[in-house]
Amino acid sequence: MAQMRSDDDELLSAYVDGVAELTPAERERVRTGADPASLASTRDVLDQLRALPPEGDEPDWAAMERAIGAAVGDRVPAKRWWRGAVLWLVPAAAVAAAGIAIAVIGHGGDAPEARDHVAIVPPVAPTTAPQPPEAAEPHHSFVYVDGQPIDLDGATEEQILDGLAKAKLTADDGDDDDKAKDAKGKDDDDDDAAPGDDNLIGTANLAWVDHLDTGGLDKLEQVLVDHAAPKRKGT
Amino acid sequence: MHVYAPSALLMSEALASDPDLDLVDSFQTGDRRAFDTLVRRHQKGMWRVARRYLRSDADAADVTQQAFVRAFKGLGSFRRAATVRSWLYRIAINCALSWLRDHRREQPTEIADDAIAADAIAPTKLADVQDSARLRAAVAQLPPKQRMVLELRVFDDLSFKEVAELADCTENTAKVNFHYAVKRLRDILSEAGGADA
Repeated sequence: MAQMRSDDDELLSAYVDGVAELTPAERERVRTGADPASLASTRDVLDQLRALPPEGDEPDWAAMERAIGAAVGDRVPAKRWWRGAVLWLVPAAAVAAAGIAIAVIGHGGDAPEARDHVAIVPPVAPTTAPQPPEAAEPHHSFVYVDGQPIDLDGATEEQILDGLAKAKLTADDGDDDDKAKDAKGKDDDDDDAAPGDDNLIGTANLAWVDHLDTGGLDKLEQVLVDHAAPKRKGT
Repeated sequence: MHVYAPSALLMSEALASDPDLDLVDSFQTGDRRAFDTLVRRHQKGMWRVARRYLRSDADAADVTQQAFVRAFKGLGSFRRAATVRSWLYRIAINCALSWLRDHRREQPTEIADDAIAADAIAPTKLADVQDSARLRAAVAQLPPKQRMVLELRVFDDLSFKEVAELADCTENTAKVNFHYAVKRLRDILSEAGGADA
C-alpha cells in the first residue's frame, strides 16, 4: 500500500481517539493547528460509532468454550520444530541449489561427454603387431671419382686402388683433351690436374668430399697416404 | 526467571506488555488450561470480527470455533512478532474470508438484513434504529482499507499498532486511514442530515 502523506490534519482523528498513541511532537502540532470545530465533529462521529448496538445476537459463550475445548482435545500439540527451521532451511536450500547449478554449468559442460566417451568406447586394440626395429643397414661410404663409385667400407684396399687407378686413367684421358685445348687457346687453369700429376683424384671436382662422413674421410686419407708413400719412395 | 534474547529486548512496549504472553509461555510448556483462558478472553472479540464479515450469528460462531482450533495447532510455534490478540484476530479474519469464498452464493444481501432488523423493533425506537442503520450504511460505503481500520479501532478497541498489524500497513498509515474514514463519515452524515432537513 502506498504511504500516505502525513501532515498534522491527517493525525487529527488519531489525536481525538487516542492521544496517548501519538508522540509528544505530534500532539503539539495537532493541538496548535487543529480547527476546534473539526475536533468536535470528529469526536461526535466517533461517539456515535461507539454507541452503535452490537450487530447480531451474541452466542452462548460458555457453550462455545466447551465446543472449542472438545474440538481441540486435552493434549497440547507437539511443537513442530520444522516450522521455525523453515526460516533458515529455505534460504539454505536455495543457496545450495544455486551453488550446484553453478558448478554443473561452469565446470561440467565437457566432463559428461568425456566420461561417456571413455565409458562407452573400448580402447582400440592395435591392428598390427608392433614392427621390430629395422635392422640397421651396413653403412657404406662411397667415393665418386669421375663418376665411378668406390665403396670405401665394403671394398678392400686393392679394390679401392684399382678403382682409383681406373679413375686416374679416365682423368688422364680428359686431361689430354684439355691439353689440346690449352695449346690452342692457351687457356690457363691452374686448378685442373696436369698430365702426369701425382694427384689420383682430379682437383676440378672435389665437392664429393663434402659428402663423406668422418669414417670415410679417415679411410680415404689413409688410402691416399698408403698410395702416395711407395711412389715417393720410388722417386 | 526469564532470560530474554537480544531480539526480545528490542520488542516494542506493546509486545512486551502483552498480557497474553504468559499464557502462551504456559501453553508452550504443556499447560493445556492456558488455552482455555485465551478462549475466554478473546472469543467475544473474535466472534465480533467474524460477524462483521459474515453477517450471520451462527456462521460467525462456527468460524470463531474454527479459528480457535487453528490457533490451538499453531500456538506452540507462536513467534511473538505481533500481540496474541492481533494474531488471533488475523486467524479469525482469514477463516471468515475462507468461509466467504466457500459459501459465496449463500450470503444474504445487506439490504435484506437491515430490512429484517427494522421490521422487528418497536416503533418508539425507530428513529434510533434509522440513525444506526444510516451510520452502518455510511461505514459500509467506506473503501475496504479505511473500513477495516475504522472497525478494528472503534468496534474492537485495538491499538493503532495492532490495527496496523492486521491491516498490513505501518502504524502511521493506519492513523491516516483512520482519519480519512472518520472524515468521510462526517461528510456522508452531514449530507444525509441536510437531505432529511
